[in-house]
Amino acid sequence: MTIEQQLREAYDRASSSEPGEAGAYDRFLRRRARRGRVVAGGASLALVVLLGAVGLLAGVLGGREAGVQDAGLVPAGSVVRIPRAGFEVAVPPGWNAQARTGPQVAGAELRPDRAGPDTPGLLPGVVVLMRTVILTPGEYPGPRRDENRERLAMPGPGYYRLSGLPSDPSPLRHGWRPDGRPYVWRVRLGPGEVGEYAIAWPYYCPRGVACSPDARWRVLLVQGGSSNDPATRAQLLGMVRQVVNTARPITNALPGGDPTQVDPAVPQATTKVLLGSGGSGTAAWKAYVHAVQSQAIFELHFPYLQRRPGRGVHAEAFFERGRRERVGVMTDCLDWVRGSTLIVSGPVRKDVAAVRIELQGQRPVVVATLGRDKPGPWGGFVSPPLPAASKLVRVVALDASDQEIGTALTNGTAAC
Amino acid sequence: MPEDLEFREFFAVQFARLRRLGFWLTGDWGQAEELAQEALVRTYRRWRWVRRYDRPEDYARKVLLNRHRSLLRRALVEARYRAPSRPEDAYSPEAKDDALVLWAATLKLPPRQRAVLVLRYREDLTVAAVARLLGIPDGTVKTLARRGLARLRHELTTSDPDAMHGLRERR
Repeated sequence: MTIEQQLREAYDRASSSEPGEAGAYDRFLRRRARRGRVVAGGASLALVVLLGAVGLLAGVLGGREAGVQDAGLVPAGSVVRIPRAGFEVAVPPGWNAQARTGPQVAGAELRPDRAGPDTPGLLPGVVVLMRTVILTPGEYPGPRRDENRERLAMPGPGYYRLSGLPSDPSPLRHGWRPDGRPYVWRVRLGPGEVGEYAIAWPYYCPRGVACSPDARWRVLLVQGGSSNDPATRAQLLGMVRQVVNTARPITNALPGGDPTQVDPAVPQATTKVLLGSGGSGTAAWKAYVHAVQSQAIFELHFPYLQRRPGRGVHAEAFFERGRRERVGVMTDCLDWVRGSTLIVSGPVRKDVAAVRIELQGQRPVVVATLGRDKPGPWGGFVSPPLPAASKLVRVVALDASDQEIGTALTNGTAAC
Repeated sequence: MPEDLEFREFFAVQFARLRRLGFWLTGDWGQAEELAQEALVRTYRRWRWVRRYDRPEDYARKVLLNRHRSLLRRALVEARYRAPSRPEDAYSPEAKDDALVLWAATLKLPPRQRAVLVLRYREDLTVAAVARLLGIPDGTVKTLARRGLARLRHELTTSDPDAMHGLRERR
């Protein structure tokens, strides 16, 4: 018997004591729910909003975002201008650029020119991605221009992520361009990945009008792809740094720019809206919603938990997949409440007057929506406390005449 | 088919496979479950995209392998996981035949060698597929496999089963 055959037998023998799979899916659901139960403070909230804003752009990586259009190649020596993204960058020798724009995407890709000397081959990971997200100043994870450089030279202020990566976040580091503009960067943890950078400049505020704190910032994210070859990786990193150092704001991102040129895809700045509050004692809650791009960021605050810093907020970004989707669902198992209890909540569109929460083996619960009188396109709902063992089947959106106008399926899952 | 339902089917098929892969990498069923669950949660988060892949299971497998590697990288987590999660989860062979000696020896291999051997000789993947999953060149896969097998051969020919299982008392 060869060593390979012996090895196979060894693996089989070792795994013959395999435990059963009973309850595995329930454990998965609990873990998934725990992951969603982002009990974090303000810093994490900024992260959630940032993730929400960036998440939709993840499709850029695979080019799978619906409606994304690829413009023609911009050769080396030219300048690639992305007005909607508010930046331009010179295409370096040996590389070419391609603008990519779509409903949720505004950016460009730099790829090595196959014919260029001393450039890496056209491998899938050898690409520098540039894309813009619009954030409020508070959502931007990096330093402000007026912040103390020495203080910021210390290790990063937190563990933000710049994009929805599957790997755990690494600390942010800080740097300054030759013109003094600050940026943040982090090393990505995936094998061979180069890293990613974020650089911000304020969105244009018309002359004579004070910029409110909600005035958005354009944040250019620059991601250097990956390569197993150290030389290629070094080349990619050099290219990323060159882009970070030379990218220029244009259109209304540039102070003095044309204020009439407003990006159609950029929503009006909105503030977080308190939809309502309810519950009592340790189960008291406050519901908030705000919009970023085409998503509703829904937040459920539990003041009881907020007595401890960094806890007590469950925030999630809900994607707008289509016009028929009118309700998002979030579940919270209040395990700090005696006997435990389940609360189902989520954002709804303004035309939803009530939601019907259908539970396995129980009578459905109908809840009126909150905040229909508040500004913005979204309202919300929060269920009364439900038994912890409840299994959620679906949540149905009802209009003012009790007609079903949307459904969120939850697959009969146990929430606690 | 709704995405959630589709994922549930995916889970039903893949959970056991992933957990076994986790076990072959770690030698601990508790830790294997942890790895498999984590891989599936992360796969679920990307399901909208992953479901379109020809082989979505490769994505979950890759997440598991990455997760295993990053756990090993972190000394604290490693220390936590070195001790079996529950005593009954730890596989402690009683017999001392070649297969069991070999199994114990695989757990002493460096993590990458261990992963390559599992994927090549238990999962029957090609060199190219292993390279893709681990994010390393084909040549490195071959080298790791060759070195791993050589080390196992050596263990097999020179092993003292008691010593292999750490049962020999220190003098």
